[in-house]
Amino acid sequence: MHTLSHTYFIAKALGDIDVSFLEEAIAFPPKKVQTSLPKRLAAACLCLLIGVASLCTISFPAEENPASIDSEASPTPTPEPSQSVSGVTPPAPQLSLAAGENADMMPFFIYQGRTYLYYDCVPSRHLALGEKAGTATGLIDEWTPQDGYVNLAGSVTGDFYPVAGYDPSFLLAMPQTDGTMELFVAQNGYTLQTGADLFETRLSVLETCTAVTWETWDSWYEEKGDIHTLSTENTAAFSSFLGVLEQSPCCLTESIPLIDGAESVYDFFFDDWGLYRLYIARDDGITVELCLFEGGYVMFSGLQSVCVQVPPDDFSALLALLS
Amino acid sequence: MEDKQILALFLARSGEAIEELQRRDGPQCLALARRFLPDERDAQECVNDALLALWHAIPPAHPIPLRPYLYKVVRNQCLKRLEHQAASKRSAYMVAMQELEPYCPAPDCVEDDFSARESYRTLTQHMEAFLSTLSKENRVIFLRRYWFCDSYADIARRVGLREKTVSVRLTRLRKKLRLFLLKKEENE
Repeated sequence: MHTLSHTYFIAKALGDIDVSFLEEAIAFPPKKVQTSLPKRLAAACLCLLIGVASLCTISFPAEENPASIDSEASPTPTPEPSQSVSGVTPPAPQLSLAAGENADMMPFFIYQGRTYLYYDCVPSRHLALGEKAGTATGLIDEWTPQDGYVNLAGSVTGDFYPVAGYDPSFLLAMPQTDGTMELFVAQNGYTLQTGADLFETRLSVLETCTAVTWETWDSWYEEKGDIHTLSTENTAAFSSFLGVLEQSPCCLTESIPLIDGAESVYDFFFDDWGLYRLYIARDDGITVELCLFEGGYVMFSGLQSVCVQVPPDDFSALLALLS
Repeated sequence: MEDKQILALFLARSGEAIEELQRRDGPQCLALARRFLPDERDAQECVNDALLALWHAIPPAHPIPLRPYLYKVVRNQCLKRLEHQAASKRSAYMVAMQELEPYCPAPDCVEDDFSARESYRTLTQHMEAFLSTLSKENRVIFLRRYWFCDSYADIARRVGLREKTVSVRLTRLRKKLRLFLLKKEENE
């Protein structure tokens, strides 16, 4: 339990630090946010508490035809997260914005029972948008009760649209006044059997890939920007890897056995098992970011509740390409 | 107006000193106070009290730079007021401190006694030592969150990182702090 005296004790002790530290913090120059940098969605693992219980009050069948969805549809029960021979159903994220959960910054909104989580911000010039799908009301904050997690509510405000070439039940875009487009990826509401359900059906990686770059986990974490580009002579080998990725089975990230001392799979994935971040540029300007982990696990950074496990030999062949 | 000019007004006991300081730093002070005190009137009163405290402190104090000193006084006024409020209200300050609490030792003394002052001082020294081990950017992120109680979004804008990166950094910094404090405890 948090007591004010403990709070006061820390606050008072911190409050008495030398003013030179404060000077530095006051004077620290704001820098321009570099939207072209590789997406850094890893933090979502710390903010997005993947859980089996949904706080969403409106849900739709997992395989609903996206073309038929509209905001007036009536609610149906949320599918339970599951993993079976027929595939994995990502759990509806338990978006806890409660005070103390340090997730108050996470941009998301709820639409048609799906929770759309911020993925990336891209220049809008290449993207073709469909008709407006809805307007996120941004009514959720740290103190919103569970019954406030309703359709169109979220932590962001704005009109959102389907994007040409993407299933709107998977990806939606929210145009910004500065000419950029914020992309949001649905975290639930579908079933994935193999990598193809994600990387082929929903992201069309093979067909649209124009360039591949990567950096080591350390470079990504420390923001060193040590980015490498896949050479043309390795293109065929990489395409072959993508083929294997699409055939490999999906699993729920939370089903991966914990290693000793880890409180959650995300702890050791992001602290110890991270190997590379791979950036696949699509011809529409969107970048598909993959996280490669020990054990042959590949994760799309926009959907961290699901991993694809690639056979060891194929994974080693990819690592050899990158190293 | 520059620090030196405002300080000169204080030293000359000119009421303009308060007016100038209020004009220059008032909005930032109020924004800081609001993160501690959800009640607008409380926040405004704390800023006024801080300005008054400054009026009484200068002279003999000659704080240059003035701004961090002023922020410190505002923050102390807010903490003082929070301590006197029967029920702690949720505020950005409470949220930030609750993040930090599990990583810091709890006080094992009665407030306002000598040992409490010693404990504060020790933790302050450890905090300073910890901050000195960090990179400039991480130090700013840590302080903006736990001293100024800035939101993740505000910190992200200030340091030019994504909010999620800030979140990851802070999580790691808190863990690092806990280890640092544990080591210090072992050595004492």
